[in-house]
Amino acid sequence: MMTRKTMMKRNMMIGLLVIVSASFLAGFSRVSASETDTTARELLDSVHKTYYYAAEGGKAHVKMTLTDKKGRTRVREFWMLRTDIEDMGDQNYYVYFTKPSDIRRTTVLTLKHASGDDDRWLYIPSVDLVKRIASDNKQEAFVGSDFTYEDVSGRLPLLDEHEFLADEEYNGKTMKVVKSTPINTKKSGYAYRKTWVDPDYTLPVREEYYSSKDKLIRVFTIDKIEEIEGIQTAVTRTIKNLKKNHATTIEFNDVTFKVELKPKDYKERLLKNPPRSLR
Amino acid sequence: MKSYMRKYKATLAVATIVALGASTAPAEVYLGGFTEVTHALRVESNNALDGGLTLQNRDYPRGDVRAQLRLSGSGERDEYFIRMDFLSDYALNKDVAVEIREAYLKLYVASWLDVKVGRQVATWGTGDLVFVNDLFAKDWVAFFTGQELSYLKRPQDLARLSFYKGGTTFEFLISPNYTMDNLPTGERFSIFNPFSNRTVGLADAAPVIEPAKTLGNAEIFARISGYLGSAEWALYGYRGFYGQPLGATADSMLFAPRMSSVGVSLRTSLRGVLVNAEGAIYNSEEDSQGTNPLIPNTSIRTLIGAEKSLGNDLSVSAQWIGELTTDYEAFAAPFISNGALAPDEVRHTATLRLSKLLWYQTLRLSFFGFWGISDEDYYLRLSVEYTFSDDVKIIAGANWLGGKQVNTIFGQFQDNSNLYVRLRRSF
Repeated sequence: MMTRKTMMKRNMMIGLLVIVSASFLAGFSRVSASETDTTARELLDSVHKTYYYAAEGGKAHVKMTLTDKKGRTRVREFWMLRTDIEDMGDQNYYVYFTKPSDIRRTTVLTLKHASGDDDRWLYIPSVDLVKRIASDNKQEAFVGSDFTYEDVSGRLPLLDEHEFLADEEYNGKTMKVVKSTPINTKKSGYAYRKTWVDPDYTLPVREEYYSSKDKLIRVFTIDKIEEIEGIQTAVTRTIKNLKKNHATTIEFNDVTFKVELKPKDYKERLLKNPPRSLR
Repeated sequence: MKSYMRKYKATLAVATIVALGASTAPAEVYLGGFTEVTHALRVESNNALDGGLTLQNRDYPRGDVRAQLRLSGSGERDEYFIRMDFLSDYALNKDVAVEIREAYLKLYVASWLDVKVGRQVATWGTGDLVFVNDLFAKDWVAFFTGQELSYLKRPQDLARLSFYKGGTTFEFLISPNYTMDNLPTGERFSIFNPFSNRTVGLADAAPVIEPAKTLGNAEIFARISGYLGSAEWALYGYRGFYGQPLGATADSMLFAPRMSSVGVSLRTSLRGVLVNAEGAIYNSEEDSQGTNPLIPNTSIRTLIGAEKSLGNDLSVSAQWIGELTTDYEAFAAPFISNGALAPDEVRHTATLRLSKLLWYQTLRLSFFGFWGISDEDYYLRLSVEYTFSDDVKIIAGANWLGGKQVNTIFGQFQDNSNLYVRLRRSF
């Protein structure tokens, strides 16, 4: 409680400092002010690229552990394949569930569009049913976890306004802290978020999501980074929902950045016929 | 009991063949499944049923304990899958039965061809629990008595060939013999007998003649499908029979008349709303002029649907289905000459679905309603599903059926509305 209060105080002070310095700078020159924003945006652009667009795609086995407020856990396991069409642009995702046994062989296909709604299909093998999913809301939970679809496939930095807050010690390292405010808060599910960027890895090691009443509602952390095929990869990630006292941890195993599928392979055929390496 | 033994032996034979047929390459074999108890309770007594004859207790349209086993494995270019149910049906007083729900071999023959042979379920089209171009066999008894949705599809023995060219897929399925929908027979549900003009149990139900299991009665299904941007289109073709015994013989028996169809479907997302449209012509081959009152006329079916996610795991969808009878005058004439009211030329049906997920998707609330606008009948499906853990869930629900007339699809089942509960443990 004390620590959060102290942190909030500090954050408020940082905020104040930023506002004061920003207006101070603005008084002298407009260019400098916009430069500050541009730096923050550039930083988050490169973070987004490292985190969501590493290489041209890849494959990983994901273990997702959901822990409720009573400490009970549920586990989902799936393979996730990704093929990028354009850097910072459209991407195709394919998910093949292996656990729990009830949903084994269920697959999900997501065609992420940088502009506009994603296209999403679900295949339920026990009825041989290809169901298209209405997906205008990227804030919906991904398979009942604390991760939203947007957390899984990324929120483009251009959807937010970014502001550099400070350099801050975190986990014994100096991180860049950026505040991002969604341009359209109606659909974002939060008022603003703060990102702690590790400058060496350009990865978002911590994110805090705040409500419109400045209440911390959700925390994302990268718990483990590994170098895989020369790429710094966040292999363990956690989201804690502070309102519901619920957490989800995802662990990536068998990660590779060798791209197995072409963009055009992401079709109904793939939903029904998983690639050989997953069967 | 003997027939079950035969069935059991057949199951083993199919399972062995499928397992042996798969590649001999060392591959991981997967084994999984579940055990489940389903119990359905009628909401009011139904005296039309033959209590004690086949149904143990008239109050229970379903009561069974089942174990499902799933077995699969794959090689370099092939895959096999077996799903079978071992079931003890205490509502129908039957001993242990074995149902092979799926037992198929999938061959990845070439980059442009996949083949799937054996017992399988198949689904296509865009409707939500409404089928226009999907003419694969259904199990309405399972659907009406609280079984999981996957049981709505009746397994069929099929050879499925899928050809791929560019972004277009051509699929061709053939079943060596026709599989009729599993409809209430008067055993679990009382049904309408059109000859005696009343609702009856099994003993007084009109006999149904199934087509002979000959190659001449094979069913053929075809589809060409592709994408236009993010819109999906498909063209369909079918030759076989109506899925239900819609024809009557002069000596008061029912049968499924020959039918062939062609159709089309489209599905896309428009500003966050999923929209789908489908149309098909059901060509009644045994009554192409529409003059035989004992056989349905050729009809045109259309479906329009829309679905929207309202956020917070709440979604709503609605559909409209129209069925136009061709040669309507010829169709209506016998009714009119008998002084009866002929069914409408266009039959309208609407559906509404609401679904909501709560508590990290461990609680699932669902409502689905069919509303027969022309037939003045209805079917409401309600369910609550709670997941205790990854392996255990409980489902409780209601099937509420009724209508103004006892000779309509849902109206005839008005004394069969039921509540059910299902407990499943997966492994």
